[in-house]
Amino acid sequence: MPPSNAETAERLNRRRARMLPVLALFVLIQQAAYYTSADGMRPVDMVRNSGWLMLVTVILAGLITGGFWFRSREVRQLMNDEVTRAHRDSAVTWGFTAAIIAGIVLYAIESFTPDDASSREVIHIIVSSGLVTALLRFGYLERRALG
Amino acid sequence: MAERLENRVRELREARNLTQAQLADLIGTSRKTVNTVENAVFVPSTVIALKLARALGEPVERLFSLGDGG
Repeated sequence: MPPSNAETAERLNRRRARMLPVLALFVLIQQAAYYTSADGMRPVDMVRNSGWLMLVTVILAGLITGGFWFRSREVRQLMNDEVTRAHRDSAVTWGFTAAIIAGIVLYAIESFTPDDASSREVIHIIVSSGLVTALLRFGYLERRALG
Repeated sequence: MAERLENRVRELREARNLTQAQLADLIGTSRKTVNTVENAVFVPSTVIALKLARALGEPVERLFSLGDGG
């Protein structure tokens, strides 16, 4: 007998809760890779930067919509219920705060050591701070809720 | 003002021999929602509170009360 929508949603909820910190780690690894290689305009740099752009766009879309876009509407509704929406709101608030704090800190650093970081590096740090914080917060709340 | 919403959802659910998943199914939400409401981690909306009351056959004020005894 095929699993019910509730069983499928429960299984996918658990999978998503496990995936969130892994995705945060993945963003951090990408960030580290960016800083350990030259920031130029070679084709390889363009590919790497485009890859990062796609990665953060897909992760942001997954975070905001709940992901699992190819599942049925009923399953997605169960996975995006009241508690999940409250968790997402909290996660996005934390992410926004982290991004703004990162921006403030970078601005302060830049005031004392001007021309030390490129605009691309600054954007990387702000986006990663916000995204990683939101992913970790969402993952923590979801894991706690699943019991 | 009370900071905490107390509830008897677990007690009433277990009295009816329902699992969290079965109760969640009855009100059209996920087990996660029932779990967080029971553990007082999440304050449900009026809609969920009324659905829980209906599914458990109790008035909503028997399910939820304010922490100060209200």
